[in-house]
Amino acid sequence: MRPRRWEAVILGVVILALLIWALWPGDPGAAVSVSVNGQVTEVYPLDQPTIVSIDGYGGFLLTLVVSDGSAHVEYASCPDLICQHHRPISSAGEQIVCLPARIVLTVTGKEAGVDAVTR
Amino acid sequence: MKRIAALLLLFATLAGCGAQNESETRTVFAMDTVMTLTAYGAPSATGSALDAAEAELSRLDRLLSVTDSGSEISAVNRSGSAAVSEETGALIASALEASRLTAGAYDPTLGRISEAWGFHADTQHVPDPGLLADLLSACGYERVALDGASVEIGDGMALDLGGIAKGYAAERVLSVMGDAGVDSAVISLGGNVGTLGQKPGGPWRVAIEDPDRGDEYAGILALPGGMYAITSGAYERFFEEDGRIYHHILDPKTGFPAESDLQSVTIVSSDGTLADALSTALFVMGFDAAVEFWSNHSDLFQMVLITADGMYVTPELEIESGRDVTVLEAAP
Repeated sequence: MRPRRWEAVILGVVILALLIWALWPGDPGAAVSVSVNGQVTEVYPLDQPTIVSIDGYGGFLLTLVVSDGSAHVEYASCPDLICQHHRPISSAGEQIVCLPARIVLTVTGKEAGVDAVTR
Repeated sequence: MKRIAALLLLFATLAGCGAQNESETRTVFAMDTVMTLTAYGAPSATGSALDAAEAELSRLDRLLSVTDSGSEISAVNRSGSAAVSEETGALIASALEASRLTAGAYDPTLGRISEAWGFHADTQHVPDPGLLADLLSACGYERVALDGASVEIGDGMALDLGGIAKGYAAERVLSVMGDAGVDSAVISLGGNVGTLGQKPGGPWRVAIEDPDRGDEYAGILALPGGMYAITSGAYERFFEEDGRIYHHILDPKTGFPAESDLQSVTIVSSDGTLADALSTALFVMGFDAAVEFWSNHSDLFQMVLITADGMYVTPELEIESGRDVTVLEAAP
C-alpha cells in the first residue's frame, strides 16, 4: 500500500523535526549565570566581554567582569571581599559566591564536567 | 492512520525520555553558607521535593545554630544543661562518638574558642593567649554528659555542632527529597556534597576544589548514589593578622588553627555526619596519622589527601586527575 500524499508530508515533517532536534547544537556555549538570593537574574556569554554592576542582598553590590572567556569579580562592597579575591572562573560548574550579597556566579554550559564541587 | 499513530507514539516516547533527564536546581542560603540542590525527574516531583528540602534546611538551621539564640544548642550553652529534642540528642551522641573514635581530633566543645577567634561573627582576630588557655582548659568532649535527650556540659564550655551539622543536614535533605518522590539528586551544602540514587546517564561527578586555587579542580570523583563527599581545608576560611595567615580549623589540643601538613582532606562515606566530623579530624591529625586512622577504619570511609607534594587516594575511589595520584595502601 502506497502512503497517501498527506501521510508522506506528515512523515517528512516529523523526520525533519527529529533531525533538527537531534542535530541542534547541544552546547549553547559557556556562560556565567548570575543569581541573587536564589533567583537567576542574568546570564552573560563568556565569549562577550562585559562589565556589569550587580545589586545584591542587604544593599551590597559587586562588579562582574567577563573577559578572555572567564568571569571574575572586579569590585565588591561586601565586608569580607572573598568573592573579589576569587580567581577567574571559566569551567562549567565553577562558582564565585558572595555570601553577604547572596550573589552566586556559576559557569554554565552543556559541557558541564561536574555535578558538584566539594570544598 | 496507524502509521501516523505509531510515529506519534515514537515521538511521545522520545520526548518522554527527555523529560526523565530533566533537572531542577535551587540555590538556598542557610547555615551561614550557600547551598545548591539539584533534583532529577518530572517537574511536578522536583518542585515539591525542593520545597521540602528548603523547609528542612530552615528547620535544622533553627535547631542547630550556635549564633541563633533561640536554637536548642544555644539553650544548652546558656544554662549548662537542658532538655533537647530526641533529634538534637541523637546528633550530640553522634558528635561525641566521632570524638571518641578520633581520640579528640574532632571535638564539638570548642564553641567558646571559635567565638574568641571571631569565626562566627566575622570579627576575626587572634585572641589573647591567656584567655585562650583558660577557655581551652574548660573544653573537652569527655565533659559532656548525655542521657537520651538531657544534656549537661562542663562549666565554661559551649557546644558547637558546626563540624557535623552540614553533613547531617545533607543526609536529612536527601531523605526528605526521597520521601517527596525524587529518586535522583545531588546537593552541595557549602561544598559538603551528597548524592541520591543514580544520575541519569552515569555516575555522579564530584570535583575536589584545588586548595591552591591554581587549577580548575584537583580531581573529579565518580560516585554512586547514597554517598557523601566532604572536604576540610585551611583555604576555605581564614584571615591575616601581622603577616600571618590563620585558618578556621582549630586544633582541640592547642586552641589554635591546626598546623597540618595537609592542604585538604576529602572524606567519602555513606554516613554524611561521620564524613563531616572525619574531614575535620583527619585534617587536624596530619598526613601520617590520617593514613593510619584510615588503615584502621577503612570499612567506614574512603579519602583523598592533598599535600604540598601531591595527591593521595584510597584504593576504592574512582578519580580522574591531571596530577600524579598516589594510591594509598592499608597497613598490614
